[in-house]
Amino acid sequence: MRRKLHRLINRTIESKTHTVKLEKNFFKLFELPQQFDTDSVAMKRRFRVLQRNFHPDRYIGKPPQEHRLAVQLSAHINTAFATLSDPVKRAEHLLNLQGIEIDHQQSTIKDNVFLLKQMEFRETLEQAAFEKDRLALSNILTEVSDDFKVCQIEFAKKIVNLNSTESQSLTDSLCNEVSKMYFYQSLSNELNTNIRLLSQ
Amino acid sequence: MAILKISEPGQSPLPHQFKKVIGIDLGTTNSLVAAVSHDGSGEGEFPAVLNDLEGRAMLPSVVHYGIDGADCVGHEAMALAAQDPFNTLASFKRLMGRGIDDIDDLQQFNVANDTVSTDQKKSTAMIRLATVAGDITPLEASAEILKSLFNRAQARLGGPIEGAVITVPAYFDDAQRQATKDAASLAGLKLLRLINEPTAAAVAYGLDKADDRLVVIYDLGGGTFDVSILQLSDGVFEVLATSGNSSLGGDDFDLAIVQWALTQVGCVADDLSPSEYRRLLASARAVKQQLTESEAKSIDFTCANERHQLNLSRDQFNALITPLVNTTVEVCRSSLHDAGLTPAEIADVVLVGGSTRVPLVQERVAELFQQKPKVDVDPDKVVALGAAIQADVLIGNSSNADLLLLDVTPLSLGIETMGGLVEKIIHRNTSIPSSRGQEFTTYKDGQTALAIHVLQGERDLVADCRSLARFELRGIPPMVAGAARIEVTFKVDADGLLEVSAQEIITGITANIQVKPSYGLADNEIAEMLKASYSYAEQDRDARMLAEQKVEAIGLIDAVKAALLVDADLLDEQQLGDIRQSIETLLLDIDTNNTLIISQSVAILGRETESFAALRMDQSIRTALQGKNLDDVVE
Repeated sequence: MRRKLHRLINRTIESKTHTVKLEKNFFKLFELPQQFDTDSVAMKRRFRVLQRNFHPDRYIGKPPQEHRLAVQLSAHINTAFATLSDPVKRAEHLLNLQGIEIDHQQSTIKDNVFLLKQMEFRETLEQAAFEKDRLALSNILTEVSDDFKVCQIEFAKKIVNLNSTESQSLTDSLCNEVSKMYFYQSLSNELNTNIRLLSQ
Repeated sequence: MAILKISEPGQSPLPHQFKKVIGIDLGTTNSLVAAVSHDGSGEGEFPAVLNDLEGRAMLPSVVHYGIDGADCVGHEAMALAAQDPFNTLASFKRLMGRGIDDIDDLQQFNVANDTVSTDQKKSTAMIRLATVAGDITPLEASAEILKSLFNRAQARLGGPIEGAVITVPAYFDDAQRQATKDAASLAGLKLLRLINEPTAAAVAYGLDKADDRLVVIYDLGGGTFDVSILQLSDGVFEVLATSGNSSLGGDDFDLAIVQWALTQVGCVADDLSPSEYRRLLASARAVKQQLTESEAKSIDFTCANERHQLNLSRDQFNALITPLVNTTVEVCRSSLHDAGLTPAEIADVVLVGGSTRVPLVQERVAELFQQKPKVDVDPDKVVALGAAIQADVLIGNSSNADLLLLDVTPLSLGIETMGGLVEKIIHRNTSIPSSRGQEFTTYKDGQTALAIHVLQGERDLVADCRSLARFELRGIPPMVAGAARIEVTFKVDADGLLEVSAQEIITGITANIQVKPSYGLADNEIAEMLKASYSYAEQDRDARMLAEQKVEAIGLIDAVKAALLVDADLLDEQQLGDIRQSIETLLLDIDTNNTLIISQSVAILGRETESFAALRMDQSIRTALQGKNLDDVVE
């Protein structure tokens, strides 16, 4: 590991070029298999090793150029870690690596059952928030969290097939799952904030 | 990591070659300096606070000005406070990075009788205080304190100081951090790093020795409150969330006593002469400190030359400060929420800052976390000690080379978008250094410049956030609205300081700015921001919806007008008349500030222009088929 990192430093920080090559594949950067399910302990360990080597504090007293590049690298590592730690961002990153882009504002979910459910959740949330019903909010949160998990499992299962089959319907359905995850995540955050406000 | 310990030839850190570096805790009430000493073997490392010649560790953060400038600081200056209140500056840390508009109530700041300079014309300039030596900024006064500590360190350590780490409250915004950095350069210090006070305290405690654990640092100083939640593991201090209030501290406890005393005798602050006010404030502070040990204490003071004596019990004092202490507990709760943690998951709670000696503070913190908080290291000294340890590591003296501090940004950073809304680019509690770009586009046809307004805060509206800087990207080639692609990049360095750049991607035109803040927002607004972002959520949402609706309406009108200029001949008299009428109606409706009315009008105009849009598209396609480039027909 040390020797490998040393080589990486030689190639990037200590080179005379003015830019560093940033590894765009965060799974590669973190030495993790390129899949949805991640080992969070290994990820954290790798994060600390990377920061220990590239954090700008390690380059105080070195030429300013090196320090500047370290800031860039360290920021990139932080972005990668934040992306891999968040299920929605991680799923999007997996799709991006396959050349698939998702626009949350544009994409519409082609799943009528889900759309109905989405409306129901919204209505129940508004009702419960209006009535300041903490228990009801907690119940919705449990339900939303369960559905969120189901989505993640579905996505993890489907993305495995992406390499073998070049199918538009698979791509669509993966994007669909991400959009759903995005919805569940925002809704969970909203529910948590509402619950916290009520407990004050 | 072994590779980091490899020295350049001839630069090996032999024991006699240790570089002299210091850590400074620049506090609201008191400041300290500390350094790590090394024994001959190079193994032993002893962080210690450097005392003055009279054996005192703390330097009161007070500066006295004479005709020729600052003539004394610290204890000497404090002794002159009552006799020469106008020329004795104290608690100026609370004014760092703040403008004149920020302080409508000077008494709040414990600089009660320092007059604000009257010739101050620009409300965006940093606040100045009038003294016989002229107008003094809090930045200059801070530099005097730093100089004094620097001289003390140089005398004690015997030799040139090669660098310093200065601590700032974790909740300090960009303006306050920048002002502190500027004070360091004004004092002639080589600043190695600004580090956050709670993080420094965690370092001094050395809690990282144990395996992976979660720690809360509760830091209540003279003028600021911070809470940081850290994950410690094997030398890495990783901040998971931080929050606080940069204008809440022990000074407010003193002011609560002053307010109580004045009410008891039927006086108001204006009845007191400046000297009397300073004396009452000093007595209030003394009583507060004595109530840590005693159950009751008497307070003597004069109001308009009339003597008063009052008795204050600890229970009464507790009642006076309960709202303030509750605020800090609430901030702790919300920070735990941000980190996705419960109080039970916290392994250790550490109290930092002199104000944590107040028994009620200790009780309430113990109650929240269900454990006795740690106070093993002197809460006044722990921050300076941590800063010294970090300075020693940064300069490469320490054998403890694995020590690494990973901090976060305390407040969200963003830019103003159409309609007075803030688009957050870097969210609070993001690990720093951080770099993030976001694409924006032009809003009007032929727009050649883009004004970029940088803001910090949690709220949705520009008016509710702190304005950090404004700059312009010029020279964008004229294009239709929405065609230009402008990438705005925010970079926050390890000190938490922001740099913003903008680039038009198609042409490569760039503009960037090292954010030098404008100081134009009320102090309590910063403190309110986080809380407000929760409790005002509904109000914010309504305001956001209205603003967005207005933007959509104006954008639609502009687009339709532009299209009419070129292709009005595609429409018959009736259609043209209807569209013009709808534009007029919509223009009037925008002024109603009613989201629903505006949205209805937008929908009507949208429907009426549907067929117009279709006609225009048909024409474009035909033109393209006739061999003309589509670009030629786009205005």
